[in-house]
Amino acid sequence: MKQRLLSALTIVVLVCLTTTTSCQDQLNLEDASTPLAIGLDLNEDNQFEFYTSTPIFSKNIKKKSLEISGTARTLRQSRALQNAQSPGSAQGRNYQVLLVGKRILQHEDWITMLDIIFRDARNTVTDRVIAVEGSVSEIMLLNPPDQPMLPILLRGMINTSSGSSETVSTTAQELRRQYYEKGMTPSISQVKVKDNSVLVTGTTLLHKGGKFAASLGYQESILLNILQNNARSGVSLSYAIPGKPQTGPFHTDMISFTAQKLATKIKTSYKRSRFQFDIKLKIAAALTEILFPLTIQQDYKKLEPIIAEQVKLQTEAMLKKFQSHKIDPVGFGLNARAYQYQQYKKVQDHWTDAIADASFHVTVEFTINSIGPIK
Amino acid sequence: MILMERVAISGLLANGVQQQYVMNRHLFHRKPYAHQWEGWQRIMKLPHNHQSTEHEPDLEEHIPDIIQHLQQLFTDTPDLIIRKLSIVQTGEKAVLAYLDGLTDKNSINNDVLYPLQFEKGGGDPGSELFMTVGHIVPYTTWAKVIEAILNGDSVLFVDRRKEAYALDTKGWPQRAIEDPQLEPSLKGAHQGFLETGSQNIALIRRYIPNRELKIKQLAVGKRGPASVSILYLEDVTNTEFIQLLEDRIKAINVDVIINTGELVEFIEDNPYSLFPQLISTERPDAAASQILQGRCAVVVDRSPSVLIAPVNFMAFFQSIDDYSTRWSIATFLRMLRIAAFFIAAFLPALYIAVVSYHFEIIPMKLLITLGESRGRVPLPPFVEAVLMEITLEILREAGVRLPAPVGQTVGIVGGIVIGQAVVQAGLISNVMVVVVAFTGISSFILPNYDMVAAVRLLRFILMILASLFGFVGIIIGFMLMIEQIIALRSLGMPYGIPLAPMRFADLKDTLVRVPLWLMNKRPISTSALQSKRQGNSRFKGEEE
Amino acid sequence: MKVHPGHEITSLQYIFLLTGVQVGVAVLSLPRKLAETAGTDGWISILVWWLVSMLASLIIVQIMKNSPRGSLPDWAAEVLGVWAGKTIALLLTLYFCVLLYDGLTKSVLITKTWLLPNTPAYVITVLLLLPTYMIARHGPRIVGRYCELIVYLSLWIPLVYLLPLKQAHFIHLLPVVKDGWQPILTGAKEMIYPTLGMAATFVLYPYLKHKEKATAAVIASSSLTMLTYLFMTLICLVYYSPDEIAEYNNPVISVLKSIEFRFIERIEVPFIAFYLTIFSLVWIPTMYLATFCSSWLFARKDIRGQLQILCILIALATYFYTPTLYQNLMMEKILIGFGLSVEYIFPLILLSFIVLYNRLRRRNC
Repeated sequence: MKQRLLSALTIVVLVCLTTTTSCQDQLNLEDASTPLAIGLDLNEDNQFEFYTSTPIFSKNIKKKSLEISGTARTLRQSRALQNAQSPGSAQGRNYQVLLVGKRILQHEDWITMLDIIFRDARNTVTDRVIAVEGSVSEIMLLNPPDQPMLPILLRGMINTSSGSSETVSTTAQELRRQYYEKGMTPSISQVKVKDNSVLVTGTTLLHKGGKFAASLGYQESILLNILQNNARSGVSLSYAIPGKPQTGPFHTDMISFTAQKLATKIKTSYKRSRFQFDIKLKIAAALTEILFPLTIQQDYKKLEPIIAEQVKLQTEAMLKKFQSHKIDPVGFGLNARAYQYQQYKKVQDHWTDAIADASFHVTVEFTINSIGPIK
Repeated sequence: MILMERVAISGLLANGVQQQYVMNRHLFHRKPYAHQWEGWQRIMKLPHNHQSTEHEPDLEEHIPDIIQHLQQLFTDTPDLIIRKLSIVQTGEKAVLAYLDGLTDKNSINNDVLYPLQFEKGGGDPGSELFMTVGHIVPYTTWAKVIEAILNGDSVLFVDRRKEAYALDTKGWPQRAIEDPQLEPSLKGAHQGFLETGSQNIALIRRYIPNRELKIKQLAVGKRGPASVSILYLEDVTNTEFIQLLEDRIKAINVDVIINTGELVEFIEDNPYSLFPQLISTERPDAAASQILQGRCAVVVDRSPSVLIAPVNFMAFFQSIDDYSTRWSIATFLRMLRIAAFFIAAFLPALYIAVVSYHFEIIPMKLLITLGESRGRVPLPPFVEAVLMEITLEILREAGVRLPAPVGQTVGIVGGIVIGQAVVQAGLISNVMVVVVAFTGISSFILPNYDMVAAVRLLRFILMILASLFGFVGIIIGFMLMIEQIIALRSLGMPYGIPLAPMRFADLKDTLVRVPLWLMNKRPISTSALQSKRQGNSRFKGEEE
Repeated sequence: MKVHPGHEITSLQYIFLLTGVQVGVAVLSLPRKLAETAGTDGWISILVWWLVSMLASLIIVQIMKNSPRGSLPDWAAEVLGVWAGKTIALLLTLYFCVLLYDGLTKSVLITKTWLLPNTPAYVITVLLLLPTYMIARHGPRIVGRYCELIVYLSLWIPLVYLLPLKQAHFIHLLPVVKDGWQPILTGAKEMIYPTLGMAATFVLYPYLKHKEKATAAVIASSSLTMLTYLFMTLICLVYYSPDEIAEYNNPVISVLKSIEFRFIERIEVPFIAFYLTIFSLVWIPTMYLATFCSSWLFARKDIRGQLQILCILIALATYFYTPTLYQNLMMEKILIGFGLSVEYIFPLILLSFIVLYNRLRRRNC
């Protein structure tokens, strides 16, 4: 009897204790304001500006999202401003995209501003980081009526574009890795506003500190992904074949193919006090578009090395671009560390200088697998 | 010290024992009536009630005294019939007493009254009487006589004899055998248990016509003793279970046991636990298959459900249909049921935890739809969920209490109310409706009603925990649930077996149901005396 | 305290219990600690220390073979006198209490960081103590069953950890033995903390159903522990850049943050909640072990009284004083020293004593 009384008493105490002190973390979905996009930029006076886009949970309001902006010293500090402007308590838990303005990219070490994303455990780190050509406000306040909400739109665009390797898909977590990794430099997706609509324009390459270095177009982005071994089969490349005639305004000298098998091998060596990377691309592809007359049975043997040469030329040009900007978005440093550790160790803190000095040998092996149902 | 009295047959035990008796006689060719006493003694225990304290013969010898005594005993009993007659066979005077309604009129008229009154050819007074009644027991005490009358026997008193004869003319109102209501089956038998213990035993015996099927009969209750029979296979079932069960049943000291459920309250291991620790079934085939696995079945007279003990947690997910369908679909259904158990118990709690604590895990597109529908609802998620779950419980309860045609109407009204109106009125979010519907459906596919009841309560506890601490609360609830499963015992056997303690061999019939020809041994979880139950039964395939 | 029949634990339960106490909370930070000292070769340190810890657990079993029917304090009381028994019981009580408190506060801190940042620590502690008390009060058998069941229930976790491999860079592991063996061997000392818990054998050995399998069981349990550590460490090493991994306090949890499903955006949130059951494999057994030893100390038959006292003490302690992250790290350092002496040095001394003692006795006979 005493035992039962005691246990009943314990339960009562526990219940009182828990009910009076709990619920402090409770925040119902409808009471929260959950921005899906966050944008960072600098204004003319080089003051830190933030933008957020929050969905409005109401069927009766025509505009589906609420845009908030302001100047603050840090992101965490901006939370107060966000709270002041939104109907619910602002939470960073559901970001889908993180937009970075062009003016920010002209300064180093802006990535440290993102600390709250990693330090507050409830924040998401899978938001895609996107560089904006132009100012963030332009894109945030665009709100075209015939398109879905901006975060959904951007996230969808990045997902499809990076799916076909036309840009990179860098999450905040991945950006952090690329930033801290000594053997490579960061690269993020790039969008811009053109004629009141948003489009993905390729990849932005950053210097080691996060400063803007260069941009890559679609095709170069694909090559970057191929070099990183990230490209899935199905990526499509187009080249103009030299010596083929052009008729009128049409590029009838073009040929396009879809890669079905892709293999990239990078061999690392250290010769004559510089790193040497032998890059071997193996592409087996299906021709998907041929705009010039071609008798394939006879010509494909000739065509293969020609296309391979084109791929090689473009890759080499891209690598030159990397070297001239002193960047290494591919991550050759990882290879150097793995295979030439002693040499790498000496230069790891200024790897980008070493990459500018390195020599590359690209060889491309191209085979045609199929030509489609017509000759 | 009432217990160890000499054995006699009371009417209430008669039917069940009769069969055993008949079978014994058949098998052993033991003829003389009196020798049968020892046989019965082994099987039966006396009802321990106050009436049996008197064991001196105290029957009067003269008819008028007897009638007077009877009338004294049964005052205000208009259904007691006292029929005076004179026996043609021996020329003696006699009185037949029985309760109208508990006895079979045809049997009394044709098998007792007719031969006694009209068939000649008997011997001297005091010699054997000819009646076409199978089971006749002589009694010498009033206590026994009263018991016999109350249990539906008719008692024949003959002038100047020291004994009265209890004639088995039972015949009380009884329904026909029907499909089991709570546990319908698709391919299994369509016979359910009835309210008569002896019939129920017979139904089980139809499946196990084996001499090793033993029955221990006990009587429970002082005012209206109910015969409680423990059925088991003597060479299979672990004797510990029978001993425990017997001890626990003997310890019951109550007025009357109306139903099996009342018996359970007295004999289950941990009455404070939410989980049922004994299965009560209304299917004879299920009971028989459990007995064959090495468990005991407890038949309570006057109750249409039979207890199975010991059971484990996973047994509540098994259904007799599993064995009559092909093993692949049976396996699928097992897993479905286990999943349904977790959905029914955890889903509303998960909803609360996600919406009011961890909405970062919701995918973006769902977040927007969920936010829109939640945005219109004035109630916090916990209140919303509790409200809807209680509505569901009310509807379910209403459906049970109402006659079937009205019950359907309630279902339709409830469905519309839940599904449409509340959402349109902006009282409840539509995702909540989906959640409630899911939990409702999931709890319907669990085969055992008691387990469903446990899940219903569990759900509310988990919802409270989730509303206080989110996922952490749910996990704490989960851990407490595991504690219950691993620490509970059913008749001394671990409740969590074969999962904890793990018995890999038993998983064959737990999470999956492997083909029957691979289950050559009885489950370890019953610790049967004889573990092998079958040899290789599958024919050898032709060489290809 | 003699073993009651019906309290024996099976070999599997024993294996999982030992592994559970070791792995529990320690695995979370292990990849970081190894990477800090041994870099990407940290996984080799695990293999190195595997041999050491196996040796230590074998020594413990060897000691306990002298006392098949009683725990270590029982044996000490019998052979060396009551006070020796009491000293050892006190030592073990303290040790298990520290282990318990460390595990519990770590769980509370992690819960607070990831799931309930604003809920007071003592509420979470009380919440966690609830199932702890309920399970520990039933004695070793139920504790063993609990460990076994939880291990089976968490078998899906390794599968989840295979998902981040999509973004893995196996090239991080090359070259093997980057900077020579020196950092690897220094890294091995980080393995002391994650192997603490073998001392449970001192109490549990008499409860073993098959004592002849104890040696095989400890080998299996330390192998299982090391396999878990190896798996988790390798996953973290190939996922995080070697220059970055040291930045994460609990890389084993952080690694999950990048997993995206279509139906669930953030897998780590329900995961950490579920991980509480694995953390509980530390405090539930140690709770039992600590109260077992303290009951022995006070010559109590039933552990429940001690259990209630200990639970209330812990709850009160966290109410008045919640350890911070830094203090928890300090405690970890103390625990490493304490554990090294209790689980590695003390058994070695004891075993040599026993060998000497037996030899002397034989000579005297």
